[in-house]
Amino acid sequence: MAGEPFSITVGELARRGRTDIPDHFVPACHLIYSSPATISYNSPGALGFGVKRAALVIPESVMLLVSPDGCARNSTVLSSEEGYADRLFYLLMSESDLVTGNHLSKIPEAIEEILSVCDPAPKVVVVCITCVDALMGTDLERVCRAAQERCGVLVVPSYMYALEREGRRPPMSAIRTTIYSLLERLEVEPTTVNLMGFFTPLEPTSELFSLLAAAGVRRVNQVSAARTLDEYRAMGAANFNLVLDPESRAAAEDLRVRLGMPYVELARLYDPERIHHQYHLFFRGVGLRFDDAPYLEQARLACRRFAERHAGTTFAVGEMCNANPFELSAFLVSLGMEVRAVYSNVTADQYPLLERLAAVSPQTRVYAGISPTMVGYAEGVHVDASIGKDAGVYCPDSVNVAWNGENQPFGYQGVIDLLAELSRALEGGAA
Amino acid sequence: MRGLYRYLSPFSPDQSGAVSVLYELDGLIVVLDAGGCAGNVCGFDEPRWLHTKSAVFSAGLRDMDAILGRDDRLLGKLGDAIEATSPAFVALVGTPVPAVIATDYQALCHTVERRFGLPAVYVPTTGMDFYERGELKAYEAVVSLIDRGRRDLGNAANTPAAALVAHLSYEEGETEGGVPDVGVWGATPLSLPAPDSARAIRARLAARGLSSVTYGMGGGLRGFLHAYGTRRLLAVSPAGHAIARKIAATNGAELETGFAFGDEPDGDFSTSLDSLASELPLGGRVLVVHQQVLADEIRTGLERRVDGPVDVASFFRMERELMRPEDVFLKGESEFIEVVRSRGYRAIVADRLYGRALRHTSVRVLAPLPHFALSGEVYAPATEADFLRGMAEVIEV
Repeated sequence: MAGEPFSITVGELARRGRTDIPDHFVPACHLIYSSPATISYNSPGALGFGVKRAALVIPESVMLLVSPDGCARNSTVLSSEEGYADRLFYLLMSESDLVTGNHLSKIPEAIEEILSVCDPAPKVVVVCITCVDALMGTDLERVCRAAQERCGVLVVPSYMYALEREGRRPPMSAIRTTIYSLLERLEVEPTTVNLMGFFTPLEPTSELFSLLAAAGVRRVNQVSAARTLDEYRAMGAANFNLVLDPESRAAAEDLRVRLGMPYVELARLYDPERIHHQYHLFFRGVGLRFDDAPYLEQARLACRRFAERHAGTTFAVGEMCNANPFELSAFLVSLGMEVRAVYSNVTADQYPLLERLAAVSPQTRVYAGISPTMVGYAEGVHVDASIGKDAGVYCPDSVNVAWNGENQPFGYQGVIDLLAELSRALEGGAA
Repeated sequence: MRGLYRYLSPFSPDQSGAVSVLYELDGLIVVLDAGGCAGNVCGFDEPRWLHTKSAVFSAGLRDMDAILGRDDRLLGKLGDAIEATSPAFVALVGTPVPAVIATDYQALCHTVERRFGLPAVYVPTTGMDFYERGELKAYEAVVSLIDRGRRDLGNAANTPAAALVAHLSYEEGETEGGVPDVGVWGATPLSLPAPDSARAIRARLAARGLSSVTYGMGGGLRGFLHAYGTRRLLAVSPAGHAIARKIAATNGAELETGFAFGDEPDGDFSTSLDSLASELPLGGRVLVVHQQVLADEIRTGLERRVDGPVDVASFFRMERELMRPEDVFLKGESEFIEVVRSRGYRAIVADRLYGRALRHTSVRVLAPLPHFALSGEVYAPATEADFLRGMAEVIEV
């Protein structure tokens, strides 16, 4: 049925530069192939944290999804598997609703019915609308204000507009703004910091907590760790926000403008020397004490041991993991590993990390999971190990470490944990 | 409130039903969406996606495509994908976005045929109906494509549809495939009990000395050449029944419904029903909820084993001639709960996910009857035998 899948060396990608990215990597330029490995990319809500599950990170909340039947289908499976089925409600649209907009007038009554069956009653109802309302120009904020007045519960608007995925406010960026939209500025506590970026907590063993504590930070808030709405609201007292995922930048900027909360960005990296450099810049920049030497040394030791035992191991790295695939690949190459393939979408933002990989391993091939040519992919890449759920599908004869657990790895401890998991997998233990 | 689902979660939508029919036909299937609909189809409604390749793509529509109606861009993308996949035909599958902007599918198909020389069909699904409507529309689209090709061929018209039919007929001749005895309609993963059900149906028919073709799973596009040729039609779902009825009305074929499970004393179906009957409350009224044809088959078997009445209900299309007076077409979750409450059912044979809506009713036991169009992979059995065995493992509600 199909010819060869498109791929290109990372060296060639770097040479072409960010203004000449091949069409295969640009979703707007071709039909999108929903390869089994890339389902989560193609459908933002399809696997793991899509808009729906993400919004429910607001404590004591439920969601009312107002949409055609098709938009809600994945929730049937995911909400059952991930345990939030009791917090998700659906108001399905009919074709006449498309013409009359009648579905919007049903929202207050629907919320009342939901409140009547929930025990305990939620304090927040997140109303989510989808592409059809984007096209109809629905003013959901007005609808939610009216519903809030009638129902006596906080009603928050949210948007799952897949049509705007490459726009200025992609759904996963917009939902992060929604999540923090209920915060109000409280009296500032100088020793309190919010971590923004992930929908599940940072791995508690990450040295970031210890470094912040040693610098005098007494309280670190994460929305995913808040059990009550009051705990969530306490985030409004933070001195500043620490943004750990670039998709939270818009939310942090919204809090800066709206509440005067400053923010600083830290990237999730795997190269210990770069982690050290980033910590150095951050702590010096905000004027806090800082000594990461013991943690850096532990990470270096883990790297040396891994390199000694596994030098020359061949890898494939995907994008469905808790890492940037290009940064992670460059790190693996620095340890003496060979990265034969990267399966990832390529955007201009990724070029600094992509160029780093190109500098040390220009022959690494990059596959565009969303390219229609991937329908002809026939497990042609043979490697010892793969990282990421998608890479595991593309390289079925490899040892796979999915590295996409719920708790988010970060910093030196993230490196140590990843190498330990890779070692276990390569040496025959459970991955 | 109509449309509100407090306990149940949404069923497979019509676009999933359409893809389930088209999946194995070697076409280029383009879901006209922004990405989420195709992701839902492939990730949650199509169990074949992980092991059987098919060229199912999202059109990747963006807001400006919808606002400005940039069909030229879509056609450009289609051209590239056709080059990459060499399909037998192109199928455009509708979603809520083209429904809102009133995409002219017919014009698109004409342009595809002219520009690329490939036959093109469209399935006008909206994402607002359930899967069986999409199945029926897809069956109609493919049957009419073959029809059109035959007609053009007969008129010596050099059209893409005629070329397709000529090619399929040539292939069929090469393999010396004769007209099967039975055409089985409605055999998709969303309607059948398990992944091996289509094969099992063919095997049961073969055991009776009948060759067959299953439309949806295991059939292929060539099988559609015989849509009007088979003298016996077997419908295994309401959508299958609807299309088979139309075909029978044209060619006078004999139409039956059911799975031909057989009721031999030591067969899986019979053994499971015996066990199930022993677990049900004595004399109580029983409700079977599934797609109508399968539910009716189970009802018929169960009636011979229990004292009380057994009714059928379904959220999906129900064929009038298969309904009995007490059978119910359910328009929504509230009506489902109301029917169960008002009739005092004490036992229900249904997908386990329905159990959430039964907490405050008189139902005491639920016999699990997984339905992929509801619970997807959550409760999906590996084999038809597992499906039948599982029915007897009743749970308390």
